[in-house]
Amino acid sequence: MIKNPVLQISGLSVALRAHSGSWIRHLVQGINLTLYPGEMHGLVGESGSGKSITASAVLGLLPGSLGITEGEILLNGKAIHRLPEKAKRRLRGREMACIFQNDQGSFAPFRKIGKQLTEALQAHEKMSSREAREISCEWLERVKLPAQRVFDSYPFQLSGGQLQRTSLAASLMMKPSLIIADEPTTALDVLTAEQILDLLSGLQKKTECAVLLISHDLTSVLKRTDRMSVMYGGHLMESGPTASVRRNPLHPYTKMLLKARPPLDGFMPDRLAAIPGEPGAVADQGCPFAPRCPYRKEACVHMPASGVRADDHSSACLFADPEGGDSIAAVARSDQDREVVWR
Amino acid sequence: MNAAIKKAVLRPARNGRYVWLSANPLLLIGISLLFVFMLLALSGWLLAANDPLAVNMAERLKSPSLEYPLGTDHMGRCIFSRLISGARTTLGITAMVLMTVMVIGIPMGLLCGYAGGRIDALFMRLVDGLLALPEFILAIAVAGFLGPSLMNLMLSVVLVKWIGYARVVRGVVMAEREKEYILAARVGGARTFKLLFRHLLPQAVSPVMVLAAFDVGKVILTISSLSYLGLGAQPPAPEWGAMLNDGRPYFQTAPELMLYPGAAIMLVVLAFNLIGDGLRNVLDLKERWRGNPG
Amino acid sequence: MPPLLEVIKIGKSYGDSVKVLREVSFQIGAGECLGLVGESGSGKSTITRLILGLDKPDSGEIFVSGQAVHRLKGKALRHSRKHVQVVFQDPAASLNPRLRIWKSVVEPLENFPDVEPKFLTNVSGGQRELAAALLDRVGLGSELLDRYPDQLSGGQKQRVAIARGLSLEPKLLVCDEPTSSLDVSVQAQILNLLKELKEELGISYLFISHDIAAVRFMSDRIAVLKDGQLIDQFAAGDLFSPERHPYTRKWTETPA
Repeated sequence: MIKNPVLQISGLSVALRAHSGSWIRHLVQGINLTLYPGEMHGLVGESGSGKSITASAVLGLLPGSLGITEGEILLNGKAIHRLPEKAKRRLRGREMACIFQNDQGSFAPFRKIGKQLTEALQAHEKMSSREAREISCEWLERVKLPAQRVFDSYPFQLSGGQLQRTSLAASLMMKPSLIIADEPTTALDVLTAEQILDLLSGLQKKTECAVLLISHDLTSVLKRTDRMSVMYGGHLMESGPTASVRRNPLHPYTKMLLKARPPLDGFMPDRLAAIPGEPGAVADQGCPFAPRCPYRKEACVHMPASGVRADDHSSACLFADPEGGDSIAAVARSDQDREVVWR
Repeated sequence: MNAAIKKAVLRPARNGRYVWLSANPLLLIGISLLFVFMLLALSGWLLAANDPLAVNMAERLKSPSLEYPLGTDHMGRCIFSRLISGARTTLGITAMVLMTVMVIGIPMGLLCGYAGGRIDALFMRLVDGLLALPEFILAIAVAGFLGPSLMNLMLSVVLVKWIGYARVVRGVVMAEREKEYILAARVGGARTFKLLFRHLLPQAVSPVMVLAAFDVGKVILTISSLSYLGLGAQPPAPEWGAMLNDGRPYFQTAPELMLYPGAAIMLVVLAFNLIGDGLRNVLDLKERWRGNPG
Repeated sequence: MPPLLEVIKIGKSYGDSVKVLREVSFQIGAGECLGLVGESGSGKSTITRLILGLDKPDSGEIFVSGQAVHRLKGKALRHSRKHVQVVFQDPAASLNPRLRIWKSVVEPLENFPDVEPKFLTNVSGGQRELAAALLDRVGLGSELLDRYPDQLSGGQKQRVAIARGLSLEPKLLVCDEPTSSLDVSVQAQILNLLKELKEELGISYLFISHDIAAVRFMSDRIAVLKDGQLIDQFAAGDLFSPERHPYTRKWTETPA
């Protein structure tokens, strides 16, 4: 059975606007992403990769100085990137929900959790207070919280992990078709974080809701997601089924990211395979990763098209085997050779 | 998420660390106003050759002329010269008051914030006590006990104003003292003196600057008000508040006697308040930029 | 010869009731790296504070090279600080935002003019030259000397903090989650740097982290802290041994 995608982002570019209204600089360029129901898609990147900006663009929460310059975002087949603010607000919460890193910020500090949950429910659907209460408690139980106690608590009475579970319940109870989780566990402890991600993936499979999990943590994405994308400097570097990416990373950046983490078990190398340079090093032209890529070649001054390889797995590197040197994408238009401008 | 976006958005602005003025019309207007005043005061000093104290009953209540740019007062003294010379009195006293206040308040704040414990508790009780008395009443009481004079006026203002500075500095120190760079400096073997003056005090500079800019206006007003009540500058010394008082009996016949010093007070206070507002905006903004990780 | 650091049954409470640490004991030998694993609230940062002499334990004793540092006060405490230095988690918070980089780096040397680290003996010139040599030691160029912290990236700031930590050539460097606020690709660089420095300078580390893989990479021995108690202590190679405490095993099972 072929399902219709929940979220379809095609050729999305986001840029920074100057006071005069002209576009200064692209922060995200040419992003393509497709999410199907019940799928968890991991979006991995370091700081400055544009992963959070992509999420904000989908949620319609871009700050005023940023704007979408190209591309479109379809939610269940409807274009949502040009909707007025009011319509976007109606979509958030109902059709798509978000979970942020800052768990405190998702709730008003001086009102009881229960009140906030039931009000959110009633704002979207006509139902009695009693019904709303029952649904809220049911979801609090599903996220493995003592429902009654949490229902009657103020946000500051709960721990970070409990709050994040509550926001998980709050987003799932609206039965959204898409949840965007932006670094949902970065502020939490490792063990708590793992539990919450497990909970998220379990409930997500049950409710057939699609999840876009944004994280800087490669390991947690590798463990749970069905598909994943890696971003660098505002571009997609690699995208594909998680199993395939893990087994056979294509892009040098992904390969190096995977190797940069110390292994939990097995042979421990004496030195880690670090990627030289800082995440802020992004080339203005051509492959954004080129300034840090040890396999950089002359042709890298041109932005490679993201080519689909085997298994629906694509990589935005000109070279099939960067460590070797054979260029399959012989698009190196040498007549246009330009200097790479390092930022 | 927001931190990341903020960073991306703010990065181009960060290149111009000192684009302060152009981006802050308030600050610009305030500083220009003050500049005009200073220019006027300076030029007046050089040009206005009249003795601000010279009484000439024959020339009393004259309208503006070339010799007396703003006319003369009820004793035939040149109003312009008195204003200019009053500016020096008023601003000079204000500057002295603020300086004294900072010299007392800042070290007190540093000490209490850093030492904490009993010293701090004692300080806070003292502050509570002083704050319970309305500033103005306290000043009147001091002037009443010690007799009306500029010196006593200054004393009474200092007595109240130092608290504000001590509290601001104390707050900054308490907020910063457990931050990692302070801990690292302690671990690095920094002596208390160095911790206080090299690491902690600079963090308090911006809030103190903002407070001071606002206080200039307040102190000018307090001094003028008390002088107006006859508790500060004594006749015939030219001081704006005292000039206001001098002009009071002639309010019906010669309102300009009150108008000129009144306008002078208002404009100077306005200038400093604008500067204060502008400074606060600029410094807040800088704090926010610096708050971004990475 | 006594071990470099000996912590004997230290306990610490804040306020009236909350016991943050209970009878924690461990040792660190010369040139050794002890990894300390624990969740937040387990008492990791309290241990850091006590070892750094920023706080006194309620009970128990702390010896650095045989000297009872928990009893020191004033001048003696200040002088004992040259032996134990620190690198904190958040590089943005651990440098004074209003000081130029070189001033932050040489400040400890300025405080202890009598200290002459071996690796700086052939540096001639003033404080700036010393700072440049220290930065060079951690892989940073001298063009950063006159910058302010907010003009550096997170990784660069952490390198500066490490340079400052090394400047007195301490016997022990306490690394309190030194990589957890850095990007993955930068984490590897910093871990490599720390390991390299340990091998070259023979410094001992107390490496505190909630990243068990990073701890395994860095440490010779590992200690696990839970609710203020050390529940497991073992050689790094025995991390997967069946004798491990169930809680320790939880740590090794969770990540991918």
